[in-house]
Amino acid sequence: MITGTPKPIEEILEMVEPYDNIIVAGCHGCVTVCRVGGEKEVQVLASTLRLAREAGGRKIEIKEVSLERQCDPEYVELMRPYVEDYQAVLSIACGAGIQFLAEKFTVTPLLPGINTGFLGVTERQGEWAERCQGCGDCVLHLTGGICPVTRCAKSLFHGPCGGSVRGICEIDKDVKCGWQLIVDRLKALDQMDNYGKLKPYKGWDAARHGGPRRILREDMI
Amino acid sequence: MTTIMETPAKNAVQPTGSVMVIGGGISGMQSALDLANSGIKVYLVESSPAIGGKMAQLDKTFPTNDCSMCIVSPKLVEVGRHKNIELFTHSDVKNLDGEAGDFTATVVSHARYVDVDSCTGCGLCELVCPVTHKSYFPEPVAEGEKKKKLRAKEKNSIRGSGSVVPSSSNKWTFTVEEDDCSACGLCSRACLQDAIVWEKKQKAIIDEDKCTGCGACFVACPEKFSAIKITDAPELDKSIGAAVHERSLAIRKELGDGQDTDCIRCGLCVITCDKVMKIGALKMVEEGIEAGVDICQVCGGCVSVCPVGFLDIDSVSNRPPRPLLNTFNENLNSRKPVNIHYPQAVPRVPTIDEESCVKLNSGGCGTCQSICGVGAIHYTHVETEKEIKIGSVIFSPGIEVFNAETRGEFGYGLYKNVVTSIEFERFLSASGPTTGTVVRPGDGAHPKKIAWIQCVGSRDHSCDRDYCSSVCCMYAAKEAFIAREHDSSIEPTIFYIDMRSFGKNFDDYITRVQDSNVRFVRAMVSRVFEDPVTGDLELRYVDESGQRQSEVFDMVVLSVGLQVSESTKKLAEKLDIELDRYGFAVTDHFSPLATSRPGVFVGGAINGPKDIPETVVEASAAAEAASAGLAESRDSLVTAEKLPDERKVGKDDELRIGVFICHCGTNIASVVDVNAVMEYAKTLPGVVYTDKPLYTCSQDSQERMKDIIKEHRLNRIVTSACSPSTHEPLFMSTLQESGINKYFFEMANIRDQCSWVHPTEPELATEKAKRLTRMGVANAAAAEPLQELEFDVDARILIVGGGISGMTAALEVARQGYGVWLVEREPELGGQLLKLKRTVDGQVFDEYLHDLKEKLLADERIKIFTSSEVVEQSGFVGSFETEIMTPSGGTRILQHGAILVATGAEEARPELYGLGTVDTVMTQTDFESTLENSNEEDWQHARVVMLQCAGSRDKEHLPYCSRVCCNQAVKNGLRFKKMYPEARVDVLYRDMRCYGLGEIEYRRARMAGINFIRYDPETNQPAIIAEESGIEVTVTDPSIRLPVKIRADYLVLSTGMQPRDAEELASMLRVPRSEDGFFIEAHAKLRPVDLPSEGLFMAGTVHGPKSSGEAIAQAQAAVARATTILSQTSLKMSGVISKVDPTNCAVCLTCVRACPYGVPFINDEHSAEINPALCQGCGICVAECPAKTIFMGRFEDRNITAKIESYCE
Repeated sequence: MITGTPKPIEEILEMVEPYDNIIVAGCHGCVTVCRVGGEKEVQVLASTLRLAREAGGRKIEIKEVSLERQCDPEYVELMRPYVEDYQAVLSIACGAGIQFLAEKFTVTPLLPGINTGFLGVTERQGEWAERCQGCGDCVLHLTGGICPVTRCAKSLFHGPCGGSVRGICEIDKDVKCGWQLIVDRLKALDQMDNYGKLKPYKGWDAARHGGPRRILREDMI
Repeated sequence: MTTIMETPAKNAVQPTGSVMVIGGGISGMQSALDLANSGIKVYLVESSPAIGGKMAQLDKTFPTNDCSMCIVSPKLVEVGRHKNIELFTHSDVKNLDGEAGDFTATVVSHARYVDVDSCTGCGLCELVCPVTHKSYFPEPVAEGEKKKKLRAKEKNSIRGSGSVVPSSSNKWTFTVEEDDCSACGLCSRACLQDAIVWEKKQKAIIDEDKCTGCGACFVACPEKFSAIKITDAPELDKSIGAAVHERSLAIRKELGDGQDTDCIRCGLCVITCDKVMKIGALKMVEEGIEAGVDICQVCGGCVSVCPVGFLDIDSVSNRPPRPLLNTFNENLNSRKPVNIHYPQAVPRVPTIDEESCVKLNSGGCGTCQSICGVGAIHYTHVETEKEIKIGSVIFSPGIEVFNAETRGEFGYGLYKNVVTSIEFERFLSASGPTTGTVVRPGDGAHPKKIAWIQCVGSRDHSCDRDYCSSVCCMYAAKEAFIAREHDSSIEPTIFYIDMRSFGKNFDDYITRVQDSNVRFVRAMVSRVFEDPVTGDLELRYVDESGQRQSEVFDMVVLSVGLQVSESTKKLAEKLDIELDRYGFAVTDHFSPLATSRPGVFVGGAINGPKDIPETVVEASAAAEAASAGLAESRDSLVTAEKLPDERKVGKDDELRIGVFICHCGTNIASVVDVNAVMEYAKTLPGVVYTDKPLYTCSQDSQERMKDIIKEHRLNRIVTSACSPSTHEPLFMSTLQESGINKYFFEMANIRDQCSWVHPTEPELATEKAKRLTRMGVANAAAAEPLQELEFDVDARILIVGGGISGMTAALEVARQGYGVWLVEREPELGGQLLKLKRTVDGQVFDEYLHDLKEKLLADERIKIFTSSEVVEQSGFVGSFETEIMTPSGGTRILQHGAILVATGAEEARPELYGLGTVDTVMTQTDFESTLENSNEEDWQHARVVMLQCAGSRDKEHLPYCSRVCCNQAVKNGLRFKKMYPEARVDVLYRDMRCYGLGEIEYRRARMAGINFIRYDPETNQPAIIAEESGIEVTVTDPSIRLPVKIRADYLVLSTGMQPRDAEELASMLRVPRSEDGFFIEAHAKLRPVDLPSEGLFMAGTVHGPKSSGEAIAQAQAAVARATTILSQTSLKMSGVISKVDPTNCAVCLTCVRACPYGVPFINDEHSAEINPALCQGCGICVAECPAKTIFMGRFEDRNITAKIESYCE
């Protein structure tokens, strides 16, 4: 899922400072699951803003909405009838959702209420970790199911660098060396020969290096 | 002794369906609840004024550090409120006649002088009682003789540092009643203010301008005239004592409490002594107070009413004062003659002490009766006797602590800074005498170095306490740990012999304690010396290297052992049950709860020293044993509740809210203006009726409330009173009895959260009370009726595991009258016991198992499936469905209302020291079996080395202590020595954990010539060479501090127990297991056989290592717990449960992860779902759900916003 963290309230207050009525928009997708942009967060954020503004002597009117997903046009369109009644939309969906709203509602300023994080997994309630960078050319079948692009701090492709000490990456004592994990796993699977099958170099053309990406599925259109 | 195993012969008469439980500690309470919840009427007899026992006195409990009071208090309330438990506190059993099934007990209830039914526990009597000491009461006046005024011969003038400055604070007005005045002039002489105008033969007149209101004239005026009258004295209409209290309080408030000043001549002391106590030993004089020290009765009344702390008890009397001490606080602080046993006591009703109450002894005072708002105090109470018919008796009198003065060398009773462990518990307790501050009793200083001395009155032949008290090692570690939590500068040291942390997770706890800078020293302290100047204590001991040591500590805590009190022994004699020489009940290994008298059972520490969870196990087990014989009379004596049909209240119906503002005596009314709150409530929307009862909770108020509900057609009720946690169920049941859905009730706490915390700000408190009431009314208006789900209960149980626990449980469930599905994986029943041979007292397991099996097979209520396994499981409490795979490979679906897991454990067989490869190396169980089959010639001169903790308490193998191995080694060693007296046994051990009465066997083993050599895996690990050719062990013997080499023929390893593989079963049942693989109980202390999910129980070694006797007790306990379900025809769930609206569910799993009971799951329709029968209504998922799509009645956003909006209005 796409993860994120709430922006500091001071930053949000500064963003909404010019406005007297806004929409706070949540999303029932990933951000609900990772607890930054669901129905509940919408209510909490809207209440906090109202209280803070009231305390500051300038009330703000807020409409609370939660879309099924902010990244699908059908759901986004549901906001259209009333969006122009408000001066701005504060979205707490991921960056994709926020941008999509901005794209659709051209005259209304869009404000981000969260910092979008990464594609990750829930390690336990309240703890998420990155697992995929969307490089566009998956090699997990060769690396024991552990991604060298994401798990290695340098996204190396040919085993650990000199910064790997007893399985720990030199960047942080809490970060495990991705390549140590891969090698341990390959050994356990008795697949060490996969190590040799990796391409001598990685083509990054399918990754971000080729500019903004687009997926076109002829079979679905 | 065979009581539990024999099905009683059909009595011609039906047994009496009730049980008497003697002793209201945690054991008695648990027995009572289990019985009463399974249709058996209970009479609970407790000798002290309140139930709770020793557990209520403890601060925290090991190994979880739960607050003892917090966890026991819900039990107290449940017992107190239970319709089928009749409480007899302050009572004793005098006699027990008859036989099992048909006993008659005589219960003597001592005079309490306070009526339990009408008292509301407000505590006002205790507050106003002026007496603090046990008096030397004056000789009673002989019949017909006139009472003479006492005349003092010896006087002491009490003066302050300055001169007396008379104060007129809260002055009363004194006037002379002209008609009564005899013109004697005594008042004029007594007046120190020159305020009385009197001349001979003239009636006196008081000059109000000069009068300061000290009342000297009032006291001086002879009683026969009583010409001085008082006006403007609040509470005087009740009694003079009440008025004195009221004025004292008012002056204190005005001057600021706790300000000790010189005498202000308020006169309250003199009035109290003369008019309340009828002594007249005090007199106001120019320089202060003059005390007639020889006639003072030393009651302390004058000192306690003095608002400025001018008087002290030593200066008013020449006799030694005898302060009244609070026994609940181990005599560490004081109490009044009228006294509630402890703040959370049940019943929360005071008792008046016959020895110290002035009213009961000399006829004076009587203040408490005059102020009691419900008239609950009766000085005329007398002892009453009642004969009660019962079917069985449970004797659970508990224990007392060893009298530490017996061990004179530790100086307890002489040195002030030597305290017992139970006293230390009270120091730690927030409701104790120091409100949780650790202080030295000698000087109130904060101690830094504190020493605990273990085994004081335990494992001590010299004072006839040969047994181990089982709990001291753990409680000492806990006290040391908690002391450091209170004050991290404390440096605790624990002096011990063996660390007996044998229970579940106990060793982990000890490690935690060690890590928190608690020092453990293996040494017995020989003596304690006090430095008379500083009060510090010097401890002398010999350390492990044999050096004599001496170390100074600030405070010493003696870890006193447990013992049976003399009064318990006498009571046991009356009950005609056999005790051993120490006073513990004599019971059989296979029927651990049955005493020598059929029909009388024991539970708790009377059956050998034990900690709380084991006590709770035995208590439930005793309940089971006591009720099995009464099964046919179940439900015959209990009262079933009949409720009228519920009145339908529609959404659009007019709101008709009734509001009751409680005075709570003066608890609320003395601060909050109840009338004003009531008038205010009338103005709130929807309110059609208001009232202000003196005590809303009293029986008559409740009856009145029912009438009012009918008369005014009320459909919502709000009470502004005390705490919902104690009183909401009561009010809710009143609603139900009036045909109103109980969720139409709402409570505002204007006592604990208002009057109690704002006593000095009555106006603001009144405003707060109005606001709280307003919020209550708003929430009541937002309330909706909730329905309580009811479903039928299948009266059968599934028992998984056919070892000793499962078999015992099966038989007992059948005796209780219910059906059993017994599923065993192996082809044969018996489990681990098949491999063991004899009990500690020499009984043969095989014979017992054989008998048990016969009985199981003969009982048609029991269906046995051997070579079968559980493959699927579903349902919920009362209605489970389980699929099992039978030996034919087919499956069968079983339906049942409860589940008992008894999958057991087996002996570990680690690959150590040649076990499995060398024939002469074996486990204890192998040895037991080989020994049983050996013959005379074999081992006449054999040499055996036993190695304890072989692969136990060892991170590489089993990290935990297996509890049974020390006792097993002693048992096998003793039997071996008995069979072959010439043979030699050496036991290498780390700590001999022969807890409880096992210590006696350990001592016997040493006497029999078995050598015990202590080793330490870190510093003194034995070097063992074990080969077919012979065994050689080298180890340093700490007692001689020299290495020894032992050649042996056999090496016997105590390898410990490991749980059988039950991972799949655990995941099917959705119950947690520990890292070690043992099942985790619902609560380590108070629900030891319950699994966290409702309707699931466990017994035996699946819970943790234990002996067969303990497993039997646990099996019976689990049956008692299961019977509370199986005996119901239907179960009703609370209406306050969570519901998921699937429309918005994001299947994010938050609820699944957040639920502490593991109830929510993601269903086939891709939505979270919560089974209403399993939901506990805690509301965590509701608060956590990010999509806000989980709802719970009573706590909807609607309710909360109604309250908040009403607050902000």
